Amino acid sequence: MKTSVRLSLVASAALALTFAMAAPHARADDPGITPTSIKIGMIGSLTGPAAAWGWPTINGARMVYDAVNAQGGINGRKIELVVEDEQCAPPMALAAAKKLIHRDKVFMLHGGSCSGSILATRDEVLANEVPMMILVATMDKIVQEKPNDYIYRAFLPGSFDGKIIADFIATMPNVKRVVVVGHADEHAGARYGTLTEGLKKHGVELLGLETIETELTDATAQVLKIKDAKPDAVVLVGRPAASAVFLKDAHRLGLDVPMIGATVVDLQDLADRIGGTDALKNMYVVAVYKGPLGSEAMTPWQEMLKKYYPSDKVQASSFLGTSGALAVVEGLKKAGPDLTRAKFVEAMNGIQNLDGGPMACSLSFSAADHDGCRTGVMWGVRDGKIVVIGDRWKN
Amino acid sequence: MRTLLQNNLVWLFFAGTVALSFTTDAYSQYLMNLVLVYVVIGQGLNLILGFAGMFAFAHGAFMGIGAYVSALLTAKLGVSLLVAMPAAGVAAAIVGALIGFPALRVSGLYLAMVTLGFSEIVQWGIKHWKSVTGGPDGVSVPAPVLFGHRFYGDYPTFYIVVVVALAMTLLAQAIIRSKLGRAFVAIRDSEIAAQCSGIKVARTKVLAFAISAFYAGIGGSLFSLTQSYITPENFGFYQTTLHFCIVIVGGAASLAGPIIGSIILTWLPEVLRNAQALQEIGYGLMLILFVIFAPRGIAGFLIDKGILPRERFSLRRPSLPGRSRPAPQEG
Repeated sequence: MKTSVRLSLVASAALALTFAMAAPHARADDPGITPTSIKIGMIGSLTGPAAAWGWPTINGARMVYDAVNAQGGINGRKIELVVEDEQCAPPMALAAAKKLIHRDKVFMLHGGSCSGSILATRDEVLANEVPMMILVATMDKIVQEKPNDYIYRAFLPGSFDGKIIADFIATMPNVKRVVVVGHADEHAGARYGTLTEGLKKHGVELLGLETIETELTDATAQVLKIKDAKPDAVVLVGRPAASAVFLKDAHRLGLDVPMIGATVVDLQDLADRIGGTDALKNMYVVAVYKGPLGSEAMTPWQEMLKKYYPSDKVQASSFLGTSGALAVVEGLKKAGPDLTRAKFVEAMNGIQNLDGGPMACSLSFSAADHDGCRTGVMWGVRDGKIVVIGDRWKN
Repeated sequence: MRTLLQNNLVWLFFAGTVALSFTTDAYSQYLMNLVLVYVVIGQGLNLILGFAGMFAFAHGAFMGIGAYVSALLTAKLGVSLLVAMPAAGVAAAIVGALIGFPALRVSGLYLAMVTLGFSEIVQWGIKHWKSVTGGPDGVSVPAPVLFGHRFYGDYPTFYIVVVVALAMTLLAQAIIRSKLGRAFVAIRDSEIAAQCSGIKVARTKVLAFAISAFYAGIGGSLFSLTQSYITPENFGFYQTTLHFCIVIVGGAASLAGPIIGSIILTWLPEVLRNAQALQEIGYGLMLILFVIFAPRGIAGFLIDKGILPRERFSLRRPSLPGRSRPAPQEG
């Protein structure tokens, strides 16, 4: 044992000396900026359970940076992107953030598709004072928990989504009893709080929460149970694949009550998955865009995506990260040519009523409130077409 | 000199991590901390899978129990990590012992199914017991304060992780060389022969579960320190599969195996960050290749080649848990 300890001490000292001599030099205060470039680290779920949102949301943001670069960059600097995968796994997301911050030395981060995993990076981002724009993660506390001087979001957060659904239900005639169907994950959990509070406030009785798995393949049992409860409406807080299964089975089994979906799903995507709009005749969904795909408001963004990423399928999730990129570009422009992280944060906090691009909301940030998007839209299906229902729904 | 090095590889590994910690950036240091966390969990799983020959598939759950007990004790009750970490291990060990009882009646794939079911129940519990665990919102883990010093960040955390990982590896070595370790191996090789030799098979199996879960609980506590924020997603099927791969790829029934497996399976996904297709099929392909061409893992391969010294009680032929016939129940 003595020999072992001695040997390890000698080895340890020798290795330490060798590597310490080769240690990297101290880094500059604000990394990722050169006279010709600004390095931004992007994190997305490129593989894993949320991979469907990975590249589409990343490319929807990247096209904005590509367009800026094509026009000469910002104050003479082109945006250089480093994209990392978080696999929707917290340890991988933390590793990705640490790599981008400490090894790639990016100026700022733009990323996060999975709330649970991006939450794991929060402390690292704040401790290193790195500005970050959330890509599409909706959990409130990522941005709203204090202190937070560096993390921003230009996308409707989960709690606002829940409140919009409750407010919309309050406007529906003869709807007094509802059942909520959803997952037991952080994505759905972000909506339940304000949804149940809002329903209570409006005097709508919540008959129960019916949990469905994200890998749902058959919803017969859940649909029959809900039918027995005789609700006036059903709130659906499920991911796209599970929601499609539920709606298909609800249609098949004659559960013919209004259904209200969260921003997690998109009507066109649901129609594609189900194979038509028959099962969606009584469906309303909180939407974040100015209009359905193919509408006048969305055409320029669809064309931009086709220009920079011609092999990408134009789909509902394609533009979820676009408003964040627009806000980052505006912040970088406003921060001026002598760019620092502090100036960028100050500039971001000064953004007011910035057009959210494809988003229905305009973006406003302040030092106290980094959630810049507060407006959603309700969409429904009329005569087989997706249309906007009523006015915008604000928080 | 070669023999000296061969016989002290465990010490050299830990000395190497200390030396490397002077050179790493925060990213590499974080990965090194994760390697050490998985060394602890891997050694625990190796005791039950490699040495005792039981197909336990619940270490993600045991790890989750340890992580949450440790995080909740420190974050909500202000308990010192010096108490919270052993408590995490003990909590996981108690649950492990309870799960060990079904192991008396089933083996092989049936045991895997029982333990897998238990894993799902634990994850469901963590997700839904919101008033205690925070549910999907997770729990923030405060930086521990030990002896008046706050261990915040990857480097200070490393010193806690490396000391615990070394202690747990030495404990595993002591267990393997003890009467209990020999009883594990005897049960693995033949339950009937073990019982004929006077080994209390039922008690030894439950002990194997408890000790192995204790390791996972301690590993979970360490893991929570490296993450500083834990959510239920951390402790799902993916985590259990990772632990399994660490032991199988590294080498079951070898003290060096979990160390090798932890290094490879923590670093490989990072090396393959820009090769997503390879990442997706990586684990599956790796397991298939190792089961076919190197069933005793890398450690077994290196032992055969004379690069690593032969360890006592290491597998001398390919052997999968559950192949031996269960002994009749005691009493």
